[in-house]
Amino acid sequence: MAGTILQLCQISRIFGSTRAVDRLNLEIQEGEIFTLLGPSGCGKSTTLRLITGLERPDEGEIYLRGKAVASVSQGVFIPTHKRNMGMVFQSYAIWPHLTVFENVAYPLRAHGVRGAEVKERVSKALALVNLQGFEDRPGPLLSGGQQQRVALARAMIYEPDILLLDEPFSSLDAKLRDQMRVELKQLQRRVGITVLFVTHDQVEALSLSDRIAVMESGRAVQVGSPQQLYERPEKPFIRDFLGKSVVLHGRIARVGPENQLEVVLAGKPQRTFLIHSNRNVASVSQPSAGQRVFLSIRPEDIIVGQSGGQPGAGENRNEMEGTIAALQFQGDRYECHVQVGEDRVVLYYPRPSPYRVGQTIRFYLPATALSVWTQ
Amino acid sequence: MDTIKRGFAIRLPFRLETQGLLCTAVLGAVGFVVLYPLLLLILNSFRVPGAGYGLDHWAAALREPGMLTAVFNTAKLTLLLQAISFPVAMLIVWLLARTDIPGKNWIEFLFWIAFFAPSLPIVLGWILLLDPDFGILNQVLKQVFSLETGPLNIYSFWGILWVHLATKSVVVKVILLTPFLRNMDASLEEASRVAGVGPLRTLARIVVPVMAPAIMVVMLMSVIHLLETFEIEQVLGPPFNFYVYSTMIFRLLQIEPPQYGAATALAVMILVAMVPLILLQQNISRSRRYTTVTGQYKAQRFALGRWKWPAFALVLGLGFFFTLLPVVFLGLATFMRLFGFFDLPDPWTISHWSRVLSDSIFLRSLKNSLLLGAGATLLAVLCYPLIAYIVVRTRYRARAILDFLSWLPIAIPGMILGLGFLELFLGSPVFRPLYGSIFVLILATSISSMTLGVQLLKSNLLQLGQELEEASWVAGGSWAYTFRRVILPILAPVMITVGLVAFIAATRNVAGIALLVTSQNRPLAMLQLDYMVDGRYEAAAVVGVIVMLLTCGVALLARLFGLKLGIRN
Repeated sequence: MAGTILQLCQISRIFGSTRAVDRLNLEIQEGEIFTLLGPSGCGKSTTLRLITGLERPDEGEIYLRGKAVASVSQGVFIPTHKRNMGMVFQSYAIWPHLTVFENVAYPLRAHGVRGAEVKERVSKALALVNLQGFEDRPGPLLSGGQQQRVALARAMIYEPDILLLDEPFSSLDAKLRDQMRVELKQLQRRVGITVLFVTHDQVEALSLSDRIAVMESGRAVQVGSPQQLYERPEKPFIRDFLGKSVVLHGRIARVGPENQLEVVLAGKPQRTFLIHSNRNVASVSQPSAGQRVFLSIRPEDIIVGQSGGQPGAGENRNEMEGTIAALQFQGDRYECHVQVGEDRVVLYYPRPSPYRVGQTIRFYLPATALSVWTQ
Repeated sequence: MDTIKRGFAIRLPFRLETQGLLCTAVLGAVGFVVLYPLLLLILNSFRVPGAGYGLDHWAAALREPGMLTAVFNTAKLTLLLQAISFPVAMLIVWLLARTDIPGKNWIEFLFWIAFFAPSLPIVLGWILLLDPDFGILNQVLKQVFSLETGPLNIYSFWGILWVHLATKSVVVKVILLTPFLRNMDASLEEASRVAGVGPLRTLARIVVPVMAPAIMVVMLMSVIHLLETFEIEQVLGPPFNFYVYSTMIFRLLQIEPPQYGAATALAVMILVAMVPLILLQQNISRSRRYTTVTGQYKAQRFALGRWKWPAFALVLGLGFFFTLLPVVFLGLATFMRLFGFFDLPDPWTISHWSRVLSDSIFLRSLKNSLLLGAGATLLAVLCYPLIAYIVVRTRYRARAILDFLSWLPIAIPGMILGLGFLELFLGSPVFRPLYGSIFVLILATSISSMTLGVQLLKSNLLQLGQELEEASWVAGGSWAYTFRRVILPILAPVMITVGLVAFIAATRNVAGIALLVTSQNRPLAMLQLDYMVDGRYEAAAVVGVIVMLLTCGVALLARLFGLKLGIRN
């Protein structure tokens, strides 16, 4: 990593009385794939538009390679066409009156490149996205995947400082989406371009990114690698946005050494759970006995069967039993909804499943996979 | 904090400032040509020579004999026409849009031709059919029923009403409402049918209420459209001393000495009467909560069954009746020595054609018409995209005002705008040298076609994704580069349509330029009117046929290019 390429300092964009982007700080490193992830309306698209200059910030500064491209306090605003960025739009925005060649050549021509160089660079760019031979095809006669490749070639041809992708996979069908995701990542690794990617799809974000910023209400609530965010989310919002989790009510019974906790679950029958390791005490800074908490675990971490020889999992500890309320066949596995007292626990079971709805199932929650949250 | 923000907003953008300047220049120019003549009219109606301001002109207008009758005639004609044409139009619209009537594309095309056709040649066609002395229909009726005089008289109130019905009244409503009904989301209707409601009650309880805003707008538009007319009354009215407000204005300026004051006051009166109509129209179109045009599902067409062919005959008959019938007799007239006199020895001749075509007055008028059309086209193609772009795409603060200004001309009758222009060009030493030039006519006719042109471009721009433009900016294209290389080429097909519409509107225009024409800049349409008023029907018919060819020929071209005319999907 060769240092910061793009920096946002206290950037805000205000529409009427709502802050679409609210004093946002971000630093994007050269050569990484950085993702803005969040539900619709969280301000991620506005952030992207602020970076390109399609929107004008109301507060704060944006620096590209250390140079201010927008600064409210200094009165600087570099217009979009002078920022040297590449962008793939959600709709791809392939100009319908131009051929593939002319679409891709457009940024070169706009920058005054002429003659044989245009031809050479366009064919190189088209080769990069595997679109050789499509030069004379009119824009509207392309499939969704081809349009995306044209948009990509067009965005990258002028060797922009940064490549911006605004939900580029959302209009592709599921299979093509997977394929384009892999291709994009390989392409980025080959070319080494910095990519800023905006999406609301957590699978896309997790699989594609080097780092992710999860956004909510115009702010970045957590920035980190996909693994960090998935395994150690700092807020329930992030935990739930990034994947499924099972949440149980409880009360801390005892605080042990090295952040070991014993938690008694609410309801009957009462059970004591053991939790350890630092990361699992997500939002409980100072755990104390008697404190009401939530326990949380990802369904795929729940293990069906008895805890048996699990180290540290004592006798009957972290074990549960319940009746299967619903069983969903998902193709590669079963999703199993288990009623435990008043709680619902979701877990996965590989195929073929010996279980039926109404049967009793035993499972346990490994102490290292559990996390504790303040209530 | 708020003030700080505003301070920066003013100081910041370089790009937006140049853009803002351009926008303001466009707003200023449009505002000047649309509003200034009207303001001038209002001011002048209160101006008293040598005494500043007063009500003298208004008093003179009210004293003028026949003035109140003219206003009353206008109102009577308007209301009666709406009452008759609306049910007829609704029936045709429903048949075309919602039933399995055969050949509806061709029938609709006929209505389009009728929509673009100039009124004056059609009026002449009807005179040739219905003149009490030589009208063909009257001659036939006289023979069949052995009558002394022809029973039908076109020079009457009912004659005028008839010609209105047969020219634009019904046609305009059909053209405007058919796409609305056709594009109405069928699921609204189907939901009602599924809920167990029959087709007729569905029509009454779902279709009509959903279409109500559109129907209201079209009603208002056709009232406004009717107030535009001038040539029908100008040809048919004076022989039996019948005037509406527009022919009255024209007459007041033709008599010696011209009564500018009274004419201006009358124009302002009509303008004031139109304000509520304009406000209502704007109000309805703005608060369109009904999303009638989703185009998701097309309705199942209503099967007419055994009524299919009678309905077809009716609508096709009406379509022919609005276009072909008068045009056939117009064409016939050009080849008759004296129209209607078949018993003359050797009644057929081509001498009218040879005489007119070699007449220097005609040739000058032809040149004027072509110049006028070309100029209006050029102006439209250069200016309307800019206006539409500013309204749809920029965040220019006054864009709503610009939008309104570009819409307003459709609501201002040509005669009134023409009077405003007359006073503008005669009243100010700066503009006076332009009076009598073709430029004045170009400006006057362009204003009346501005609304349609800008609306067409606006709807196309709205369909055009914003991202196409943003992609160009991100790719390094400046605002001007983007406009030139992305916006204009994509809009090119619509621009051709807009240009053709401007050409047609300019070459057939009579009301807007009647007061501005001199013998030097007189175009064909005015020449035909002058011939008709002089009773030279055969020569008028020749000119009329040429105007027809010029406009409808171009309309055919528009049809070829303009599949995006907003009528068919």
